Amino acid sequence: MKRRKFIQVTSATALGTLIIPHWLQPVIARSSSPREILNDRIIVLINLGGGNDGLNTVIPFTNPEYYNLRPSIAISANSALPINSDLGLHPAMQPVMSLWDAGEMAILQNVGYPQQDLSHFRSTDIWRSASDADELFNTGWIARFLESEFPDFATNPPDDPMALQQASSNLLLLTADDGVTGVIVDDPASFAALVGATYDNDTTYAPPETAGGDELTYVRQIDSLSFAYADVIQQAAEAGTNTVEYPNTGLGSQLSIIAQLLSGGMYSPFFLTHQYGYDTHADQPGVHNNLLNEFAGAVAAFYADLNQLGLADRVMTVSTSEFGRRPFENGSTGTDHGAGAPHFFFGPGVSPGIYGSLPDLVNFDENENLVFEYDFRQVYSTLLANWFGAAEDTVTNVLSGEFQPLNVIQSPSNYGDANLDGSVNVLDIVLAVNFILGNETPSTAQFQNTDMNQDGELNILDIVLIVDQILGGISRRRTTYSQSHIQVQQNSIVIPAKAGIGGVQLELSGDFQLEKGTLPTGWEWHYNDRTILIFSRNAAEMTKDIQINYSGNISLKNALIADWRGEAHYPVVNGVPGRITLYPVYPNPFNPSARIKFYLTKSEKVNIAVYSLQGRRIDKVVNNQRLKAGYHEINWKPAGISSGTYFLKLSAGETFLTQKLKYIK
Amino acid sequence: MRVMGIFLQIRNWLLIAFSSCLLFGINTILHPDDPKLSHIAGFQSFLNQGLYPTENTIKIAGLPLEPLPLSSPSFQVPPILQNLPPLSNRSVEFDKAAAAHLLRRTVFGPKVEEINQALVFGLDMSVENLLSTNPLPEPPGIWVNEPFPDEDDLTAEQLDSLINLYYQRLHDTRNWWLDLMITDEANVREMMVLFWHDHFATSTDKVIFPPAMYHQNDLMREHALGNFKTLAREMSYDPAMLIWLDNNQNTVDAINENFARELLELFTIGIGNYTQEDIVEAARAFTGWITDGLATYFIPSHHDYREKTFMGQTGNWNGDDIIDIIFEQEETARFICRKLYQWFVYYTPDETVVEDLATIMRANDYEIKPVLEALFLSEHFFDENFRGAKYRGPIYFTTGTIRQLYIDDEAFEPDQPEHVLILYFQELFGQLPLYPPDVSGWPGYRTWINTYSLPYRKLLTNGFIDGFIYDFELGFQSDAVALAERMSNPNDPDILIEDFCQYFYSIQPSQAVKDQLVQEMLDGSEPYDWSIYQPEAVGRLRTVIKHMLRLGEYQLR
Repeated sequence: MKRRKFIQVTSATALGTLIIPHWLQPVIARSSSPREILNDRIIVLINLGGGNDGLNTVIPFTNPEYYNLRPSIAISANSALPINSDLGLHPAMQPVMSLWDAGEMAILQNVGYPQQDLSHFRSTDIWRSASDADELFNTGWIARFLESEFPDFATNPPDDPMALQQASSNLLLLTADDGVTGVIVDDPASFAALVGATYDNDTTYAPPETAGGDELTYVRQIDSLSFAYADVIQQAAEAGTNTVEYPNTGLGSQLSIIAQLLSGGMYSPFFLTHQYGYDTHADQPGVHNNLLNEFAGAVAAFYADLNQLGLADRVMTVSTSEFGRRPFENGSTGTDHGAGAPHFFFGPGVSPGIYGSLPDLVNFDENENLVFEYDFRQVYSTLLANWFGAAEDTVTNVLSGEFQPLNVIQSPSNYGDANLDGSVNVLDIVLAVNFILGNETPSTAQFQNTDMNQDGELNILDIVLIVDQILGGISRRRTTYSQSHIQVQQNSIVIPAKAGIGGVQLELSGDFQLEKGTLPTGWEWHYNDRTILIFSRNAAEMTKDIQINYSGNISLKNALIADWRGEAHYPVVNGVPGRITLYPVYPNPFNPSARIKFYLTKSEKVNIAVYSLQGRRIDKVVNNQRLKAGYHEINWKPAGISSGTYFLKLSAGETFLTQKLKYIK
Repeated sequence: MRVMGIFLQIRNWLLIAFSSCLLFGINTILHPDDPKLSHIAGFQSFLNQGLYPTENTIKIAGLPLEPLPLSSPSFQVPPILQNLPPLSNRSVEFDKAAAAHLLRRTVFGPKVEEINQALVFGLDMSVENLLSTNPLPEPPGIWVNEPFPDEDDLTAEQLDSLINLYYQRLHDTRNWWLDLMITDEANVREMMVLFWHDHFATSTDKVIFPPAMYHQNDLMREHALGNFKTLAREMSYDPAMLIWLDNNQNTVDAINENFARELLELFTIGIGNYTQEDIVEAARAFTGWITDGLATYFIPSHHDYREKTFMGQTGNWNGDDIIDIIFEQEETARFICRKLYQWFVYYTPDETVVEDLATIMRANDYEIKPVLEALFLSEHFFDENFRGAKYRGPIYFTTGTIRQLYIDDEAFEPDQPEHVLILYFQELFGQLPLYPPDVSGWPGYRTWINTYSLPYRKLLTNGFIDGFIYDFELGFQSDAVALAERMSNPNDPDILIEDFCQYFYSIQPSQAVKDQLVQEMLDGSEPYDWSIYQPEAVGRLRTVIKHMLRLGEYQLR
């Protein structure tokens, strides 16, 4: 159970009823408006109709395969806008780089679904209805969510439309069992005048019980829907305003209308916008460039506007598209229908970054398309659970299955409420510690609230994040962490003092007895026979060494350090790294040779190769060789390469590490 | 309205001459050094520019400048109906309501006289008339055979004006077709042309060369009630189709599977009846074709002559072979009959009836006429359930209302700018002819009615009666009194409203609604004082007709 539902229950208990009878619950739920239930938050969906070419949107410019697959339409590494060492955005996406730099943008790689249907129409319906590829749903995921939260919407409609759609008359997303959950509006300013001139308050009669009668019922419902919301929309349009000039494009106009209506005080949890033309079978480069530029320009203007209007925090914008495109180009300088593709999340509510792995350009699915990593329904579950704070059961029902929400969106405020008392405080820290040490078993809801970073595991990272939550986010702006180490000695474990450490978790085995912990001021430690948790509930910096004394034989199986942002680090234990490590190449710049040093935690198959900035492979240094655990050092002496910057890429097991190096003649 | 006689003969002669040209064109093999190829390359680069000049649309204060695009079908699919009569039951009670039902499904807005005529003829003869073959119409202009100019000859200004000219001609083609819908009497052909246009949906969004759009439309008209297999084969080499689905860029060295996919998915057999492999193999078979917009040419060196395995059959297949194999499949007849059923009867197909229709189609080697005949003569078609169960789609709504209000009789000049208004509203409602949203055609059904389109539909019918929309003078208007005069007893207010209801609606409103309409028309006066020849009757008739066309019932047929 999530906090939102819980609050409804506690407010009723305050009236003197401990257990609410089932029949009373809907009455309580109804007293809350969408605005209250959904925390005043808004989702804007931008559908890229036709199937956006993901590989030319988020470009894997260090992967030579990308350039092999697309000799005439690839985006060069020089022109891609780099967002990390392996990926760059299409140059037409320049307008959103400000959002990327501000940490208000995330990219979810390889979104798709099993047995990708390559038909636009079917796949669009699959995305809209959130069905499996071989299932047929007649309702949309948004409508099912709205209907489950507001089951009486048809008879007791909320004051504002629950969803407003522009630039498409396709109602599947908004179609629920009991009717249509939103309106289609193109020009809010003239909508009311139009409806006023054409609406009749007629004597109604029961339509005949025939197929024709059902259609008449449908027409009448649409008629009254437009009537019901005409005034609200017009008033909001009149009261509202835009503070920036939007690009004069279809999408620009759609997003400007949303900002205008929101600033005019209207609250619709969903706004659905559409851009068309991504079906780039032929002559892709120019067309795709213009499309992405329209997309990025409109989004950038939208957030600039929302920021000035003070609304940005409430608005989460997400892209959708029925599929990506074929990894290799066709003969018409275009690409055919594909599968997995990246999608974008925009807004201050985003946990910025790139999620998921680099697209695999070697192993394709049965139609020679990119393999998906995230199910598109995880995008939806993330939005419903983490943005709207919907209960787990609701999300599972709406999506007819469990789709793990992703931490692309920061968890809603009920996270940290381990004991479900409606607030986050020191009691939750104590309980979280007991969960981790196995002294208490969390319920599903408790687990979900305690698992702050939603990695499916409770550990020191969650403790540090709960502390941060209680302290209002002070600690996460602290010094960043840099590599530290742990000494396991004869009778003690020592963690030398280091700024940036927020907490430590040690996993132990062996026949030992813990005796004494010497800790920095404000720090505490908790343990059982295999786990030690060390942290500060005041978020005090680590001013002196931590020393844990023990007797007997101890073996440190795992050491995890949390920095103040709750990120995981694996310290070097006794001078040995906790994970696969690639050390800085030396010398750098180099000529004629460079030393490549790395460390393997266990025996792995290793590949090391050097690529040019354009993604062309220059040399294979290690070719799929199984190497032993421990340190390795290779002297690389390339022949006949020109001056410039190169990428060194190491892959071992599931780890990929990259480094830039420079060759000087 | 149409000048017939000698012109028609000349036109038919020209047409025969032209179609043999076209046939010759299809068989023309081009060698790699043929000068024609550079012309085609110029044409292709023209198409690739994708230039979109401002269209000549009207601007009406208070109306949106840009209409709303439509996309794929999505709505609550209606349930499968139970206990419907089978196709073989033929005891149709062909009363006035049934006659109106038959015509509402087959022509665009049947007029009073047409309904009465059908009643006199009876069902069999009415269906025979609907399915009879009429001579093909004359083309919209001699330009339909004008080739694309050699690109080298064109300056940038000339290119600009050429594009504007093409846009005008595309509009001319639309007007020409709308005129056919409005003027063709008691024949299903134009309804079938719209069906095929929705089925082989091709858009001027990509095919901006007007002759190609015209000839495709003409091809569909020629085969409107002909043979489905023949039409599917001809369509595979149709210049507009080659451009639309990139099959003119499908070569042995660079397979483009766009056409092959849609041929299988949307044109012939439907999803689930082929594999991705079949698409690739079919695409290989359809390699080597190219077009200059008027004729289709074959370039042997662009064709894949290797072995292909399509739907389990292996051979050195070409496009015709692929069509043959598709039409050997049982599912193919079922697929098109299901669509015909949905077009003429109801969105949710009755699979038993579809199966019977498919059997008839297979027995007749894919001829369409026997299928429609069986359907239109069946009790099933006339079942009470289906009365009013289809929507007046935008093209139907506009042309049909013009017909039912007799605007075309006096005020509506087909060649005048008024047409622009109709095209504007068709686009606003989501269905501009020659401009389907994508290759799957218009989603139709409930997508036609939404909070956006419904108010504008009512605004337009108001305008037809008033002669203006907001402050915009339309320049034409329905004669309300003349319309009332066509009813059985216009001076009896109850009978007049009853007649209007039967004329406009497939679902009859309750007596309470009819009484309300009568009261609205009388506007306080006594029923025995009512006469349509009183001076104040005009205004009252306008008010009540406007109101009737605004009711939900009028959106259905």
